[in-house]
Amino acid sequence: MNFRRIEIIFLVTFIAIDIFLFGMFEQNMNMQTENVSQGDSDSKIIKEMKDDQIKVGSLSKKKNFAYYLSGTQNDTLRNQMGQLLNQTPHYVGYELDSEFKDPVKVNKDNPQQSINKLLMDPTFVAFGDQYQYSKDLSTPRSIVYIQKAMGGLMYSTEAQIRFTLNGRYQIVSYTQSYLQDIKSLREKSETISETRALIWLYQYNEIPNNTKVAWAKLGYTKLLSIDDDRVFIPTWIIAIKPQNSPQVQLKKINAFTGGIIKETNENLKNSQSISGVN
Amino acid sequence: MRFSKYLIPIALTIAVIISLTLSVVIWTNPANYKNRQNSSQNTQNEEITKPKRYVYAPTQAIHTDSNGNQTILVNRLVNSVAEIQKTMHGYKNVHLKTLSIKSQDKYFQIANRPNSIMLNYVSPVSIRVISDVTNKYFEKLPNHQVSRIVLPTNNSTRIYLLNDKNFAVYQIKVKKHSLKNLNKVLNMNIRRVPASLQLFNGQPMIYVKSQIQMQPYKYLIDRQSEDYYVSRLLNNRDSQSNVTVKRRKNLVTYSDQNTLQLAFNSRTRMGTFSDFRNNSDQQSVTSVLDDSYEQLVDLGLPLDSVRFFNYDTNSRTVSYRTFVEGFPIYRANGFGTISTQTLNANAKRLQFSLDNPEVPIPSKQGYSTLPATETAIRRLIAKGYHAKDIRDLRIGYGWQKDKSSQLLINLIPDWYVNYKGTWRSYSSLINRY
Repeated sequence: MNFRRIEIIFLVTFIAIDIFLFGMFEQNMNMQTENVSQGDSDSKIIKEMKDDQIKVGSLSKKKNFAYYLSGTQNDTLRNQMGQLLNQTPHYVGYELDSEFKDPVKVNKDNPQQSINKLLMDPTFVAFGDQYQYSKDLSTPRSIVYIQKAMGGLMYSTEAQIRFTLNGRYQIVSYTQSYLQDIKSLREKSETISETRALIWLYQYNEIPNNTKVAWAKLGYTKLLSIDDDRVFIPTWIIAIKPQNSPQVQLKKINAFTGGIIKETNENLKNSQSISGVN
Repeated sequence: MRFSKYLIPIALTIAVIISLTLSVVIWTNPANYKNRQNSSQNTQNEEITKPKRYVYAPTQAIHTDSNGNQTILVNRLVNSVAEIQKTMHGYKNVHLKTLSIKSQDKYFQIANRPNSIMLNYVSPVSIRVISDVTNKYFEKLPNHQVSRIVLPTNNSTRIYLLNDKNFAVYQIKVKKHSLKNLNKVLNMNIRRVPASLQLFNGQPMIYVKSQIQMQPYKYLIDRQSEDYYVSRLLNNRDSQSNVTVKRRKNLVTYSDQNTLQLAFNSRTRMGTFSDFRNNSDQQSVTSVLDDSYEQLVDLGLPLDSVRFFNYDTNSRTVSYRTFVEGFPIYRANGFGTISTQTLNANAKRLQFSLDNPEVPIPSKQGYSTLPATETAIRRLIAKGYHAKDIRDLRIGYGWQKDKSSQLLINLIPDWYVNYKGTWRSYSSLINRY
């Protein structure tokens, strides 16, 4: 046995040892991050979620600031109907339904780019500049724009435009709802972070096993109605998708208190309880 | 070919070095395999209880401009005190010097300093408490009592602390820093109410110079269940003993049959927690507030907009109130939101409101107009009240149930008078026979 062969044997052995040690090292690091101290029980819970086969993307721990908002639902849109061109609008139940006489061509791959430009024209859509494209709520044939307010976005069917496209990348019609005079009810306050919101949702048993968190956005959703006023609270809207199905379910967490917002009868006069912390 | 002669020895050397390094790293790592018993209770506490720098923040901000004119900064889109507080975390090289004590002239000279912002507390706190609002460098300063903080807007090397009780003026030298952010606050969307700091009954008080319009509010209230408080206050680690319940008319009392008792009054909508265990019978402001804060954490009442209001040394009661627009809420009997009291070394009492305002609702009610401070005082005296018994006079909101829903309350703006030690609304005093 010559020296060279011994060297080769040693080399192979040490490479094997290195691989083993590296594996141990990795495992060690994982243990470390699990046990890292000082209130990082958040990461523990995230790990639990991962063990339950719940896929989450990267989560932000940033706390934001938001307001309580109010907006009024009235017939403003109806009064704007006369200014619209190239369409036949109908106004029913605070919603404007309009069909274009000549379908409007938009960019095939990025329809929102064309629509953004069109919205600057008040004869195309009333108050168009107050809405913003929502990728998460849109599908290839239904482009959704949501109303902007006080630095945030309104996630409500009462503040949306839905553009319907045909097979030739043309807008054939749209429905629009609009909230007037959106203003804050109180000075801005801190909201919980995305991570916290997801943890609350998990602890409420609202995320089944084997699901994926498709996206999470901070926006305003309706809490209740009083006459024609609507009160909106900052909400973490979290989209859950079972791993083998394209069906997306939206869950809502109150971004001030962490409480879950269920779809209840939100009319104040009828309800006995409104969402709170517990 | 010569290269390949050395290839294997070099590779082998590298492999050996790697394995040695990894071995050392792994063995010297204090890998802790025990999972920390971090109860999820802790996480919930973090979210429900606000930190000390929130609860013990000053409750009012006054701006004095270059001409000496003063205005109260009323919160509209932003909380003025919170925004100012953000600029106070970077103080360095802090040194305290006592400028004067018992001199009213020197006191007002600093308090009414042109180009400054004054942050006010209702009753004095200690510098240790202020360090929660600023930063840890303040912890090393002598622990004087302080009721106002003056921040010059044109000199970054000085800040001043004042105590109303003895007209003490303390100057704090800090390292020069940028005042850009502090001055930016003055341009934020904040409402200004003309005011001035004057003496009343020998004590400094903020006078509102002319009548002001205040908006009433409607709020949706948040209610915790009784069980929530019972599990937090009575089911603590020590007592595994049974919790008994006694029901009597409007009062439900839970007791551990030993040293703890929790009573809920459904008529007054108040909870009272009596703790008969040994306590350290704190006397100094710093320890009393620290202990009181711990009680707030244990209670777990959501502290949104709840802030320290005052510490009454006679009754040894610390009170906290909910603030709207920067003004405190008063219930009909003068109570606020939470109070903690030490009766003696074996008795502590924690009182809290069961209903707390959570969501503001658009109010269709028009503005209320409140008279100027001088007018209010004059009318009170004309009605027969004694000026010397008026201990304090502040703008506040009165809590009123709403007729249309038990989940709604109305907050009615009014002057609030501390008359002979009890807070009463100005309207109720004036409209009395």
